[in-house]
Amino acid sequence: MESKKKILIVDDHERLRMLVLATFKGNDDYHIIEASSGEDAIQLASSENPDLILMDLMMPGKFDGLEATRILKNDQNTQNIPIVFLTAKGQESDIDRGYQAGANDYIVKPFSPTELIQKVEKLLL
Amino acid sequence: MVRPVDKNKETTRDPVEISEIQAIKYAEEFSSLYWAEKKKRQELESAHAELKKLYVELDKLRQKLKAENEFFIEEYKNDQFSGNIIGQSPALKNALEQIDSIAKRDVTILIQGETGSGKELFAKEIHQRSLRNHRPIIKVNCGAIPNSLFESEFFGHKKGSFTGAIKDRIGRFQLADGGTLFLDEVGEIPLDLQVKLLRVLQEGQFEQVGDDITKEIDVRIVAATNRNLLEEVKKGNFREDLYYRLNVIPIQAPSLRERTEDIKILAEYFLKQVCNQFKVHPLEITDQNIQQLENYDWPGNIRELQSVIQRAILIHTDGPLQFNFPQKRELSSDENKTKNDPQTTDRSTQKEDVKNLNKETILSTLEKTNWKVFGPRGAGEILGVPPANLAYRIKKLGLKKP
Repeated sequence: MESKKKILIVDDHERLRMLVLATFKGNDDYHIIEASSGEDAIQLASSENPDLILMDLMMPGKFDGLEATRILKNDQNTQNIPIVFLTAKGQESDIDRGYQAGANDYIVKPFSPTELIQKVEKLLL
Repeated sequence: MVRPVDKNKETTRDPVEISEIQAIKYAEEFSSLYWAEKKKRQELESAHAELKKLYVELDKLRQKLKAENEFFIEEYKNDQFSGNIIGQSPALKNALEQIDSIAKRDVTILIQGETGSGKELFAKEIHQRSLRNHRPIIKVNCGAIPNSLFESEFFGHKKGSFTGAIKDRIGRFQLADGGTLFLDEVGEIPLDLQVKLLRVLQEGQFEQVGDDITKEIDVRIVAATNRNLLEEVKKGNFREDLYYRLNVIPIQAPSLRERTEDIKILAEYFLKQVCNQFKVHPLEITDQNIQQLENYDWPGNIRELQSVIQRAILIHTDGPLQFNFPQKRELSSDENKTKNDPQTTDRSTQKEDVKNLNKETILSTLEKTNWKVFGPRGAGEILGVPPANLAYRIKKLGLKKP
């Protein structure tokens, strides 16, 4: 088996981060790191060099998820990291904006563990 | 970073919070099952892949074994490596000492020697004394393979790679993998194939006919020839680079002439063997017989000795054995008279010399001697060959005094 895959989950809601942690707890091949804001995400993405980023779009602070995605995708060091954005149901207009910002895929909240695992595995294969 | 959930607090939480916590629990339980199953599946898959690999390996081995088996059955029938090296002569001992000193080193050996001098047995001896003796020694008679089949014979072929290739065939190189490949009559390999042979010897790699996959092999080469390979190199019949590649360690198989001491023991050995083979009452060999054999010069070496003895036994009715030397019939009566003359013991080489004389040389010499062949100042003396042989040659060439 190859080395561990590092996933960065960016969400201001702790519960959602816990949900992601819980989903990957049973698999030693994944290592989850967390950020609660766009600024933290940008910093961690360049220092930790994760294999994949799960990014909530709606976050308070200097950069929301959309802006953070744009910045990461314009940075040579981080532009190759696949980004999956998280958007709430009923806000489908976000999907276009997420893709325009450079994201690779999206998941609509609330999502099942299966959905999350499938998206992640598809991108990390 | 996952903060432990405070159980006391839980009851005070609003329904949304509670359902979120349950969702997390559910996610953990569900995904742990999922991951466990995935792990099992992966283990199963890799076990399956491993099994598949083993099957392929097994199939290869089975094929190799089958080919080896076929080869050995054929080999057994042909009895190609039968017999042992027999004798105590200094020439033989010297050769065996040489073999002993290099057999265990994995170097390429070129055995040179006249026809019938037992080069094959020397090759077998080298193999048996080598560290490869747990694997087979495979013989290829380079002089007996048709040109068109050379590559297939050496390297094998894939089914359908040419007309008549009805199944995959393993080549001699592959058969000999881990063992020794004996290239008999190596001087007979056509020039265009010498380069291919050279490549295998240099890189240990080759491709089957009709296959792109490069195969690696580990064989020790022992080659043999009765030709003077260096001479063939000069004539352009043999690649110089291949010659040097083969001739790392040269070993000379002594001719029977060089080991007359062994004639007695060899004759007795063959006598016993042939009597057994033909269910003949064991015959005795007399001292006179031995002397007769020792006086002959054996151009065909041990193989000739064997057939001379075999023939003698088969035509024997009673009394001592009578030997019938094949050359005798070709010789004139003068030659027979001088047969036991010690000076003519190297008659065979002189006979060869006679053969090598061309028509023009003989003719011009005869003109000088006024067609005198025998006696002092005769053509025989001038050319340094037995006059009887020369006379025979003259007759054969159809030369007549004008």
